[in-house]
Amino acid sequence: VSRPRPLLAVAMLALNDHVLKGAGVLPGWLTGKLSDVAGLYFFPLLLLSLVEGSRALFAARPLPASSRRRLALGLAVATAGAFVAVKLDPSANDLYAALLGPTAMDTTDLVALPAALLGLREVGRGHVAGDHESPEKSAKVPASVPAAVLPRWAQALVVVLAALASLATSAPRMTRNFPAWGVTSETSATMACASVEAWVSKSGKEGFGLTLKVQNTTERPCPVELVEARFAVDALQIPASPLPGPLPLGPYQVDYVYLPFVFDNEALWNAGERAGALALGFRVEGRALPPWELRLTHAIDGFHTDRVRQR
Amino acid sequence: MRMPRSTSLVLACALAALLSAGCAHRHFDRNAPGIVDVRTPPASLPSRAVVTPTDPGEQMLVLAAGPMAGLGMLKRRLDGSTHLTGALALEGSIFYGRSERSHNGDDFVVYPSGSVGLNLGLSGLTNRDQAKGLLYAEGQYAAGLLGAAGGWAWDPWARSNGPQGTLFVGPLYGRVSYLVRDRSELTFGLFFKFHDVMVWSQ
Repeated sequence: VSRPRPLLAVAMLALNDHVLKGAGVLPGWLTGKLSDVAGLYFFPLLLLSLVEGSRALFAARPLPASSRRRLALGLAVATAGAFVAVKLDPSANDLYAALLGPTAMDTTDLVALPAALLGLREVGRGHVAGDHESPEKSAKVPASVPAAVLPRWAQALVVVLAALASLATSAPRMTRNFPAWGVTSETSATMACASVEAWVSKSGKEGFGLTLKVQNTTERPCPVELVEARFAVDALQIPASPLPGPLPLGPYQVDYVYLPFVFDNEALWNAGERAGALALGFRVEGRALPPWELRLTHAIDGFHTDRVRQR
Repeated sequence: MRMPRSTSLVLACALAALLSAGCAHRHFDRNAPGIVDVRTPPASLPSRAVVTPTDPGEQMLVLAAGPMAGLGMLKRRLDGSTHLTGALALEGSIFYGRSERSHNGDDFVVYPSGSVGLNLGLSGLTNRDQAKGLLYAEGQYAAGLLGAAGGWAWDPWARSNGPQGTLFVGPLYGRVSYLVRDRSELTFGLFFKFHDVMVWSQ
């Protein structure tokens, strides 16, 4: 791992995941592929380093070169196999997401697979003559093969950093969720010559805001006035303030109205009050209509939003 | 890339410490609503999307426990002799902290950016002839990976006690104990605490 090419791969992975992704410098498909190529290139080498490091704790002699090559090949194949499974199989992808965070199931990512085998070339370069095999065999290692380029303490540090780089993810994919009030009853109603649609636009610690789309559905003028907007939850009666003025809607004209309901929403949330009723009273063409009653609930859809799966 | 045993040991310890920092966390939905000005309309009224609130940050209560292992020196006050020593400790901690930014679901470490708490521990020394160990209690303040703790240590075998201070950076710590009329200890090492983090919103 501490040789120049694997180091370059680690650096590329870190740069790509933490700087380039989402920065708009490179297209998303390219940053995704760069991470896959860099990861597949160095991850088998990282595993090999960890296996060798662990083995050195218990075994007096290092692995012979032939065993080391077989082990490296096995780790590369296993890495490639796991990569294919994560990219193609939903259950493997779910397992990966649970352990290390979400990753996209994109079959075009499989073009990065050869990188796992390219990393194997570093295994041969990692040998220092006389290190592993019998004198006859080690003598066959060309003298020009360079020894490790870093001191051993730095190699250990690189392995730790590489492990972190491979565990770390890019700009956050699982962002925090917040609860929001939402209309759970019918969201639209007909009010004589007008139709009204309602949805929650804002919801936070200080209450929520409701937007109304009001449309004249006729060819004649349709004056609409909201005369009452009251939200009832627990023992509280919360009026919208301020109420909008009259809407003199022309033929088929559409207008939008925003109604803020200001109250201690956090206290209600903490008290477990998660359902309320909203009454909207309209006067249309000068005639007061029965109030339109909507049911609202305050809910949170999990603690985090997976932006990858959302896409 | 063959590593000597000492390097491998350091590597294994470092990895274990890093893994121990990857802690379990549980969410509580208290104070969950975000910060949004509901008095003003959204930028686009026709949009059906709910405006994403500003992150209020998080609070955390952390329970941590695990072994600490270190090497250092012990100086006996009686005869002025100095001894190399190894120390093993079992420490439990409870601390409360806040983070200005809420953690994300894929964060590797869920930990408060600033915290205060209490450490209780029992340490044992390897040099049986010179000292056996200490019971201690410390108050702790941490900012990110850096922290300091100070408190009092008791040696029930030597019937001595005195102040103790600890500095730590991530899983590395340095600790000094000054036992009046008996000895001073200075140790450096690693701790491997498992963290159980309870998270809720600010």
